[in-house]
Amino acid sequence: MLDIGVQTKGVVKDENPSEGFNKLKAAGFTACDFSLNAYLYNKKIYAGELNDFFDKSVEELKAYFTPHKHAAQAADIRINQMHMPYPIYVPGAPKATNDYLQNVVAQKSMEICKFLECPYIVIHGFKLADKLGGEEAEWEKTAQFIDTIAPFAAESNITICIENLYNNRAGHLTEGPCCDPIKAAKRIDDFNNRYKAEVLGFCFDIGHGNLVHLDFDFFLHTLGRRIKVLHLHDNDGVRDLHQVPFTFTKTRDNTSSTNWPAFIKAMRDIGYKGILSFETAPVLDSFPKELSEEVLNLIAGVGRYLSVQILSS
Amino acid sequence: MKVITSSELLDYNRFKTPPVMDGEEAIHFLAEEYIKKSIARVKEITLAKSVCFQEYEIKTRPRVALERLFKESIISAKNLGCKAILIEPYIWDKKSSLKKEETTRMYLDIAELLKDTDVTIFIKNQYDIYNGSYNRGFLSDAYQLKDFIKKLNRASANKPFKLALDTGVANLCGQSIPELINTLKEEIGLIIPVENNGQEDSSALPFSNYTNGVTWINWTAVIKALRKIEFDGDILLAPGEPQWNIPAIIKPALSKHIREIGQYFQSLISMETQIRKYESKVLFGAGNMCRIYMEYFSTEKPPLFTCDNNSARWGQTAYGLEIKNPKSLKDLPPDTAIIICNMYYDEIRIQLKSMNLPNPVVIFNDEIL
Repeated sequence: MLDIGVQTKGVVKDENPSEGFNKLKAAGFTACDFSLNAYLYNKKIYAGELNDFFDKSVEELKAYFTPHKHAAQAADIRINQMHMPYPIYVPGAPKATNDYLQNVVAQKSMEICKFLECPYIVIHGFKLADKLGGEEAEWEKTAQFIDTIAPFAAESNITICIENLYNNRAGHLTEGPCCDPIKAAKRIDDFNNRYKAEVLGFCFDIGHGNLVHLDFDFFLHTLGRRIKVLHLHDNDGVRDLHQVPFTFTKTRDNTSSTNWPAFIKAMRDIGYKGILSFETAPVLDSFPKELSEEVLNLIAGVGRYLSVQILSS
Repeated sequence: MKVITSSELLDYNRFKTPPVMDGEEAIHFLAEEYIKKSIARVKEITLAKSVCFQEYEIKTRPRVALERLFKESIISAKNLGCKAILIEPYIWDKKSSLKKEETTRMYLDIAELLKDTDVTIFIKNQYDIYNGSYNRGFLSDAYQLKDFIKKLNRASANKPFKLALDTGVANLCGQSIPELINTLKEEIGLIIPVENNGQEDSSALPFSNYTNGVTWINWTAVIKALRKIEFDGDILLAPGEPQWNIPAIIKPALSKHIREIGQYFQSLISMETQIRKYESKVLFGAGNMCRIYMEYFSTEKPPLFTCDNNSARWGQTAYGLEIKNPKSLKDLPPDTAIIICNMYYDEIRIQLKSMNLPNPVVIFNDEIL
């Protein structure tokens, strides 16, 4: 059985991390995606409202997250991946803001990742294709940023994972950074060759993939073993809803409109043995709080189903 | 680069009358009659579209009959002198997944039918369907599509296959159209600029819809991408069947509107290529657009001079160029191009035409640089 993980957001609270990790364990999870991005939300970043959380020194941050680390260990929940706050670059924002995001928030996120003994940290690439005239120019900026954290990653055995994203125009979502698997594969290999370490990998977000109608089979086979972590969730193909897999349908046959079979087959083919990690925190808001346990049980159950399917020959 | 509208397109789907569908009348004769009536108006029809069938036709007609009609439409187009045929998978209900092997065989069979000709076969990008969702597949994913066309061309002696890029399909598949254009730059021979809201398979004219203050598709980026690859294929603007249901009284205005949109795309896509084609140039206009031209083409050989209808400016200089009386244009060698750097393009074009100048005229448009 593959390990099953889920976001800590909405479950693990700073006041009592043990309670949250124990809930995850009770529901059947064996791993978690540590929601570091919850400490500096994207909406706040875009609004220019940066809090002072990352003003804490590295030692202060380590002390802050010590209870979380111990609680996860006590509950036997592996902190396998985490999400760096995003965006890490805001077009049009003052230089000081972007410098803070990259030189303070990103650097300290890496320190927290190392402290929590977490092997993977997911980052969002810069969204600059429109502004800079193309995807190649956009990637150059993202690559420059990755170079500021890759040396630390190499020393600390952390793999930075780029994630497939989307852009929004007129309410319609189209492909954003890291949606070209051929380019992503080459760029990952180039980085790893340069650093002689696995500093860069890929986080496949199936929900985002569904929104921009990726061919999962081609995408996943192309990236293969470079896929290190997952963001599993579902949506209606229109909005990024982060709901439970198999929830949505588009026809009266009531069959799932997201191509989960293609995902399962591809993961089987590439021999994926990582964590099946769900990015489904919004589900805990959709359902009444009284049903949180049942919801987590359901998500873990879906994870077990996917695991059986992926591992079957 | 030609703009092809419904008038210049021989769409065989127009001729799917009941007698034709029942095999009682040959589709070729209807096409031939259509061409005869059209030639007086449009002079040349170079692009045909083969028949393809709707779900109800696929369900109610024998497959053999549909295949026969499909092939007849292609042979007819060839015999009527069409230089290119746009061919889509003719038996696809758009409810189930497209089958790659079957589609490959179809295109190879067509290539065999047309092997002794130089007819171009345009393959249009298509979405795949999974349980009601539009997904990318072998006819939409950039790399798979490129590979598909290359393999077909390798298997055909005269390499007839090129891509007809439907921007509406790309939008449904959530693709970055500029990146798609860049990846498929060697394959694209025809652009079909249509838009939709990304959720429903429909084909609206460019710029026809705005949401949150922006068009559904970023046409600026599309035009820039086509310009960057020096696209020199054709532009097809024939938004299909809905146009046929438009009241006759409105059709002329709509047809004119469609053509103007096509010409806008044509002029903006080819603008730089057209300007750079000419070794020797002069500008018409000494205002802001002249300044932008001089900045944009600053590394290139400057124009000989500019001219302006404002006589108060004659003899002055603007942005490094002497401002002359437009009558000076009569002294130019015939191969010197006149670049209009003024928003009153139509009026200036009329002015130049009235001067009976043999010089090529190109429009500089600073909207998309």
